[in-house]
Amino acid sequence: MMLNISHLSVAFENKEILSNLELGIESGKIYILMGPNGSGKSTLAQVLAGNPKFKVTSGQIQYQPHSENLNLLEQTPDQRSLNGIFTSFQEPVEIAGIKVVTFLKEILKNRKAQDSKKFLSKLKTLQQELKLEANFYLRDLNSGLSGGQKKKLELLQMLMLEPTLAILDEIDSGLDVDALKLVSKHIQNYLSQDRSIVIITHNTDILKFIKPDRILVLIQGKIVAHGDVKLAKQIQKNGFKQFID
Amino acid sequence: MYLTKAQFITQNSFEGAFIIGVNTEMALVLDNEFLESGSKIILEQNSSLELIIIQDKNSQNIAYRILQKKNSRLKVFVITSSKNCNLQILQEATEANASFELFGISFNLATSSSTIDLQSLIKQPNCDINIVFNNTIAGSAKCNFSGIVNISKNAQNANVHLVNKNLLLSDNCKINSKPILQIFNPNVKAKHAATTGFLKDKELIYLQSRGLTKERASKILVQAFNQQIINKLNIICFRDRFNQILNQNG
Repeated sequence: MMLNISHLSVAFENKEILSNLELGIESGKIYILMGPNGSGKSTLAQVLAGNPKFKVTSGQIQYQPHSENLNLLEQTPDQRSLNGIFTSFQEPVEIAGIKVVTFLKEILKNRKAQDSKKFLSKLKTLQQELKLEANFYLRDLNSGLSGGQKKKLELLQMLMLEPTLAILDEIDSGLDVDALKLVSKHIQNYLSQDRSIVIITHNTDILKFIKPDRILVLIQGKIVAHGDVKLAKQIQKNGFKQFID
Repeated sequence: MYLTKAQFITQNSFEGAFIIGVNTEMALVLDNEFLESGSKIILEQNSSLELIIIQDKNSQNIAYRILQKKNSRLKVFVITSSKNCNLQILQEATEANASFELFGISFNLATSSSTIDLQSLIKQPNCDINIVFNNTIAGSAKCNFSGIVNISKNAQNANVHLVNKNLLLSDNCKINSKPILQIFNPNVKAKHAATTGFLKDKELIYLQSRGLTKERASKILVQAFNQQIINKLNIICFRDRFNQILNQNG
């Protein structure tokens, strides 16, 4: 098991958002985490990223990239990232004054050695593959980008950083159908035996282009159902009401 | 490339002023070596001056009075990181169609106590004034910022933009910001703004989630805060000099 979450409860501003959550993520699999608005999906992503605004009131998260066994809750956000966790943000933060290329160089600096020629070559390849404008890397980080471009930039960061566990929070929102297809293809191709991907979404469009191994349904801070792709079809037909008491 | 002052400035011994001649374009760089405090700079008709003031070694008081004549253009860049800096720039548009831009960055660290006093007096029509000044304050430092633009009754069609942004890096530092417009003519466009705040948590966590320590993320955000001002420097070689000071103090 790459990630094992047990009895996890999380509060935000004294309100419990996740309640005694149990969840296991295996290597080599794609998970789709679904749920209605406010069910706690993004909270879970932020807790895994280490956002201190969300207070873990009980529980454990064990993370096993390769042969190590790490207590994730003891790690700072940057340590988690360096240990192979990547969280794409539902609303990527706009930071004027930092160029994309400068930012990418900075976040790759503490990782495996990459010469600048290879870095630029990979950046250019991804720019073309993701159909980003030619000089996008000279723009300020996420500033003035459309919602879809921001999501592509999140994906580009993931592909540059090559994480072991990718948590993609609404990577599908703001994308037109062609962009969704393109982004989905890259996510699917990124999967390998020693990597896992969790896609957080509240609609099923992405399932037209991605083959998930597991569908998880999060309602009121708990996993209330899990299954294969048939579960997603059931949600598409009947909505989330069927899981609510 | 930039010119030395001897090449383009004449000193008028009667007035004790540096005069930028008619139709002259020039740059004056004061990198820790300053004109005498109280010096007067006069931009004659159709002249243009880019004045760059860099203060990162000593805390010499800087007080300049700059007079602008018809169609003159003045652009001032200031970066100061010295302890207890006192900076005063008094600009007067004594004739019509003058333009004045000032972009400033100050770092107030540890126990520094600084005063920044910018004053612009517009006496004649059709003048453009644009002032953007960023202060970064940390530790238990204090900074008093005052930016005053006075638009006199004859200064119709003035276009004025005055912005002061302050970034606080600790709970103990202090900023006293006074952006002031004094408007005595109804036919002008003038706006002013001041913002003061801490680094944003959501920006910090975003950078940290990409593998940067909190300290490194903070430094990058301080640099980003000031970078927009540095990007306005036309003389590219001085961007490196400004960035060097930014790296040392961010």
